[in-house]
Parts: sequence; structure tokens; C-alpha cells
Amino acid sequence: MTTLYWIAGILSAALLVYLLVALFRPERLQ
Amino acid sequence: MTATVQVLVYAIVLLGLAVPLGAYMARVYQAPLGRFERVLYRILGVDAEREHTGREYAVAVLVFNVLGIVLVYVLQRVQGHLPGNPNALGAVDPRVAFNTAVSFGTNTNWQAYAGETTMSHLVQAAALGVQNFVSAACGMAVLVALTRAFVRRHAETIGNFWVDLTRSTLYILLPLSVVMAVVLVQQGVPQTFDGHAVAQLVEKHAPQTIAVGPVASQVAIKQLGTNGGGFYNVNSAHPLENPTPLANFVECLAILLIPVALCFTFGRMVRSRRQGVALLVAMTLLVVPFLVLTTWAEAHGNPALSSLAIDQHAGNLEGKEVRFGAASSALWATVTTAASNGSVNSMHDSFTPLGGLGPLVLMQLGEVAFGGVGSGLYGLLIFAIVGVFIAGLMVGRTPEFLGKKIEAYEMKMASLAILVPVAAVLIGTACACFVNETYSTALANHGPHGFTEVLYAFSSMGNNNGSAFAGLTASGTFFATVGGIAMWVARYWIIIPTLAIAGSLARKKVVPPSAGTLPTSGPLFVVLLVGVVLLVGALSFVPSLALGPIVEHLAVGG
Repeated sequence: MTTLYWIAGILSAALLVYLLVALFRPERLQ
Repeated sequence: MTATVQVLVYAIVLLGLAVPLGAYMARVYQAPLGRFERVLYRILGVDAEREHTGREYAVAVLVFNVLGIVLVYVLQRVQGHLPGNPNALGAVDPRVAFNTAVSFGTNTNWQAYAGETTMSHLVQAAALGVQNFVSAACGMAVLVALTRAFVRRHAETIGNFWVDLTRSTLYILLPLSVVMAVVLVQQGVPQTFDGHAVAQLVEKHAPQTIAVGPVASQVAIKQLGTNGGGFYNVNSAHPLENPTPLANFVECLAILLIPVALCFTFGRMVRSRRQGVALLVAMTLLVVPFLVLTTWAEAHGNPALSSLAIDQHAGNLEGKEVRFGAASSALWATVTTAASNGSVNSMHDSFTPLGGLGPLVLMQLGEVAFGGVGSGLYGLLIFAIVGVFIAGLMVGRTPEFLGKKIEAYEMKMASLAILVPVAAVLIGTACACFVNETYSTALANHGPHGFTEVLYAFSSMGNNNGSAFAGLTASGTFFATVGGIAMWVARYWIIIPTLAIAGSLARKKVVPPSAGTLPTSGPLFVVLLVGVVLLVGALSFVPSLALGPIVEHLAVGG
């Protein structure tokens, strides 16, 4: 269960980082 | 017949009010700064003349929301030391306070607490009530920013968040709420800062305590802002929160009023009223089948009781207020889940399996038909972006929407925005199935119905709806914390890519329509859009629905 929490937490944090990069550095994703 | 007439009257009145309101809102968002506004912004230190880029807009939204959520949390924790607490309520449990703060900040308004016995009047009004206004206004502001992005050419900015927020609150939500609160007070909804009233009964029992407070003001904005968080634990099923059939009609009307009107606002702002109507038709086509399903299922009673000598001519009335009946309850359940509102006038847990399936699926479709104020329409526009891209792949059309080319960047952001709530719902539900708390204290039922209770809870929180299935105790550690995180992710992990798309689209030129352009205000586009929404929803949720309401329907002999 704890592993599941960690996976979900890391995934959502990674997604946030990706989204912030997309927002602030859109040229990196184009 | 009665159900059909009710729905028709509802639709006619709704449309009659939404058209002028939509035009009014378009004027509000496009008007130059007035004298009052200039003074207000000067006092608040806002440079209203300076517009925001997509990223500045997003940062402003996030900072404003984080601060609001922290404030709501703190007010709940210290309410015992603050005035406006005539019933001497103590501090709210930290897990519940966290869940509630995120819930109201994200416009979800999921309630892991009983309002009348947990929150002081000050917290109800200054924390929850204020968030009801500003979280709704945030959704509207993000929609307006995205709308401007479709219209502007080679622009770096998409509007000023503080101006959009202020205008949504002061010129739209506040006046409508005042009018509605007065109507509700006239119908018998309490509005007072006094403590609980005590009634001496004729029988020689203990006196009855009647919870009252600033109810009417809370109920008005909870419906208009698609918030849904009620003053009372049983929400709009409570006779003091929803006392008469007229109050019920007005509240039900208020749920969809702004989401529908915003379609007309969008049409006016992009200078294509047909486009706004096309989006409204798509939303309606998505909702009507589930309205028919839920109304039909509830009108036909519980199939498990059909072999017994029980009169079910009035439909399945378990968990429903007899004064509203099956038809009004089914209409409300559909409207409140379609609109990301989440208030209830009956207990969805007691619906028949198919009757409960309708509200559940409407949330799982991503709250885009009609969705929350602002968030519903920007969610549907995200689907529209994916839709025109798919049309481009399938029939060789140029992927463009309202003259703006849809490219890889927009598609990446749109795909993430669509998949985030799906992940929040499914991962949250999967985790809940592993936790002891679910089986020991949370669930009222086990088997397929119990699974539906969990699936419903995360479908509600993971799509910022907020309605509860009623059979689940959600104040435990797991549901309060993981649910809070799911609500947080489902709101802001969508707003960020939406504003990223807005910033990108605003910078693009407008391409004139050509032979390769798919008209986005015609029936083909509407069908395509509805198809994309249904397909994403079906691919994501049919397996989980099969384990819950579908197998339950088969088990009860439906």
C-alpha cells in the first residue's frame, strides 16, 4: 500500500513539473 | 407524463434566463474599466491596465487559490476562539479541515463533515461562503482567458486575472446570489446569525434542537456557483435548506443557469453565436440520455421489490423526500452531477443501480456537460481541441478550431488535461480498495454496491463534483487526505495546461477558413465532439462500472 502511495505521489509530482515546464518553457515541448 | 412536463418546463425557463444572462456576462467581461473598478483596484494595489500572459495568469490563479485554501484551513482550526460561533463548536479535526479547505477552494465542495454540527457561522460565511464565490469566479476567469485566446492574434496576453475574478464575483455571482437568497428566505430558508433554536414539544420528551444559521445566503451561491456544499449535512434534502417545491425548482434552475449561459457568452466573445450554440447542443446531447435513464429507472421502482406486494406506483422512494417525488429527485441528481454542483435533494445511494449509474457516468465524463461554472466549458473546449485533431487524422481536415491551428503542444496539454481526472478517479478508487479503513469504518455496504460507493466518491472528488453517494463515511484518514489530494490535482493539474493552451493560442495568427477546414459550428462537429467525450469516458470507466452498478443491476434482477 505504501508503495502505491509513493508511486501515485511521484507520478503526480512529476506531472506537475512537466506541466510547469510546459507553461514556463513551451518551446521545450514544441 | 409528470416527469416529462417537469423537465420541459425546467428546460424552457432555463433557456429563457440563460440567453440574456449570457449576453450580459459577455458585456461584463468585455467592458472597459469603470470608475468604481479603478478605485477598487487602486485600493487593492492591482494594476488593472496590465494584462497577464498565460503563465502569469496561471501563477495568479494558483497563488490566489493556495492562499484561500490555507485561510479556510486556519479558520476551521481556530473557530473555537473566534466570534460568530453561538453554538460553541470546537476546532475542526485537522484531516477534515484539510479535506474541506481543498474541497471548497477547488469548487468541489465535497463534505466530509456535518455542517450544522461542525462549522461555526463565521466559518460557514467567511470561509466556505467566500470560497463558494471566488472558486466559482476562478473557473469563470480561466474560461474567459481561454476564450480571449481564440479571438486574439499574435497576442502575448490573455487578460488580467484580478479583473476577471473581480468582475465575475461582483457583477455576476453576487447580484444573482442576493436575488436568489431573498427568494429562498421568502420560501422559508433561515438566514440568521443566532444559535440553534430550541422547540418545546407537546409530548413530554426532551426539547428539539433546530439548527439554523446563515443558510439562505450559503444555499444561493452553492447552487449558482456550482459549488454544492450545503449548510446542513443532508444538503438540499433538508426541509430548511430546500423547503418547498418552488424552492426546489429555483435551486435546480440555479445549478445550470450560469454553465448554460456561459455557452452564449462564449459565442458572443468569439463572434460566432452558432459556435456557442453548437457547444450547448453537444452538452445537452451528452446529458439527455442519462437524464432519461435515471428518470426511467427511478420511476419504475426497485426491481428487487417488484415480486413483493409493495406499491411502487410512485417509483423508488427510498432515500427521497416524498414532497419532491421520484421525478424531481431524478432531475436534480442528473443536473447536479452534470453540472459539477454536487448538492443533493435525495440520497443517490438509495437510487436503483441504473438510476445511480446515470449520475456516476455524468461525473466520469469529466464534468464537461454542463460542468462547473467556467470549468465545464473550458473542459469541453479541451475536448473540442482533441476532436478537431482526431478529425484531422481521420478525414484529412486541417486541425484548427476557430481559426487557430492545433499543433503538438496544444495536443499534449489537452491530452493531459483530459487524463488527469481519469487517473485521479481510478488510482484513488484502486488505493481505497486496498485500505482497511474502507471496509472497517467507511463503507455502509459491501459487494458491488460498496464498490460503487467508493467509485462514486472518487468520481466525485476526482472531477470536482462534490456530491456524495451517502453510504460512505469519508472523514477517516484515507478518504479525507487522499480525497483532498485528488480534488487538488483534478482542479489545478487541469487549469495549468488549459492556461498553457490559452497562452499558446493567443500567440498564433488566425487562419482563414479553407476547403480543408472542418466547420465547428455544424452538426458533424457536434457529433464528433460528443463521440470523443463518450469514447474517452467509456474506455476509461466501463470496466469499473461493470464491477459496480452494472453487476448490481443484474444481481437485483433488473
